[in-house]
Amino acid sequence: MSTHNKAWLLVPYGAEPFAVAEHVVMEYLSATQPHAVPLTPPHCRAVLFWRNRIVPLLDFGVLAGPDRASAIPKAVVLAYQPEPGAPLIHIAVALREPPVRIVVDDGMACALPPENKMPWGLLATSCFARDGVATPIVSIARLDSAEFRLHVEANCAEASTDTAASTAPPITALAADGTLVMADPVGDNISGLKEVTARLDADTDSDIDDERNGDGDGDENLDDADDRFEDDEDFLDDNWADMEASDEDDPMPDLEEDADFDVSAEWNEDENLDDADDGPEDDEDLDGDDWADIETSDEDLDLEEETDPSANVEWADDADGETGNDSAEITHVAVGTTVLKPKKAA
Amino acid sequence: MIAAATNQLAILTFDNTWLALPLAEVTAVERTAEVRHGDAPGRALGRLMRAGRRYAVYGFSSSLRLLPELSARHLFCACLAGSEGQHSVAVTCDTVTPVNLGQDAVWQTLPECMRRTETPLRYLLKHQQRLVPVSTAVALMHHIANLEKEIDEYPQ
Repeated sequence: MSTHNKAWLLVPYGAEPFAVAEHVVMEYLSATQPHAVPLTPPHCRAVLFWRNRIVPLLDFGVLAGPDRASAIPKAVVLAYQPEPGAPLIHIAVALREPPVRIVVDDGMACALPPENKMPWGLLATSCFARDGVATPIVSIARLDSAEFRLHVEANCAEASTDTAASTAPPITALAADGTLVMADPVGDNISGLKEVTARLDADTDSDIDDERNGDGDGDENLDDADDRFEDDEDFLDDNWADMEASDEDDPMPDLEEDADFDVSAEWNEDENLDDADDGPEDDEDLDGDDWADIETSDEDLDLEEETDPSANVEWADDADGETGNDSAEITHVAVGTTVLKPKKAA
Repeated sequence: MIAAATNQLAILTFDNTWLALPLAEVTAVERTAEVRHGDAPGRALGRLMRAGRRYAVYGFSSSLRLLPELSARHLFCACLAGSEGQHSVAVTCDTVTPVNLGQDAVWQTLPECMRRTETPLRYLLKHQQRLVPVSTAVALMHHIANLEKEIDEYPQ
């Protein structure tokens, strides 16, 4: 029996498009305000403030060369669970285009593309052909792994230099024999139907959807309840295409894009764009009953929720809410119990 | 909370960069005018005497690289607590501000994908809508030692 599973197609800067399982996508941000972190690897030099969290932003633009790092990227927030019962870990990936929802079939399995810039053997759990193009299915845990970080550090030496004053040599702290540890590479070993969808399910955050579905079925990681929206794939693809076309001409594409984004039937039905953070609980603290409540409220209130301006608080926060220079506010220093006013330098 | 149950940090600013350390690890703050040049170990910018203890003074750029000379804008030196057997270190900065982290403080350990080899950063903190990397005195001393070693091995 052929198995269909839903996924998101992500188009990052500096790398070929890749897919992730549907359930790992938390939110798409059409504008972000990255906060730089010193002494970090070239592909992950900044973080985002998102839903009261600090989320590392992966930007593969640097893999295409030092000048390709995106300035104000769009980004998608992803989540994975390192082990059952553990808190969710969030990362963000800078995107060149909005995500596109796709359906992946076992019959689409193919070999991984050549590793020009991205170490697909390290990152991908499987691969499928879409419009004749090999599209890896990437594990979020592997994107966040030390192995990938070491690979980037070793292969982007010229871009890893922090400043002109740096004299740091390329970091080559790989395995003793100089090789990377390849975590279950797939490559040409994919041959059949089951492998593709099985690996789409392979991220270890199955607990999330076990709680959400409560059915314990074989494909608990991928939602199978809203089959009727598979029929909307073409419609949604057209919507995204329109949005992307208008993006080029619109002087304020992000705001317009947000509006289109919110009213699309696709996102209204997306359980991953949940409102779990509206309440006091974090994602990781939700129990089965909470998930049931959230899903119910999603079904009943999606349209209202998506048109509620308050639902976009996070977007506004990321886009322009943090432009002040707070450093000017610190004008004194405490020495013991005595407050000294700094003198201007001579 | 951050750094072994402490919720008090000292935020150092220099070159529009913020860096936090556990407040208990900043033993004193002195004026940079007190720094004595010469007789400084390694790549230190000078020496500072405080309570009978000698501190090697270092300055950081915004990318946490060692400055080759004292910056006129760095008016203060944060003296860091060192463990036994280590030489003591002071870091020049524009300001030093103690902060108490409340229950609603947003922080997390440095994400795995950002945890570069030999990084002195341990946590990330959101404070006043800014990102503040958090280190420790020991980690910062190791970072200084690594930078001095790099400069010696790969001189410009």
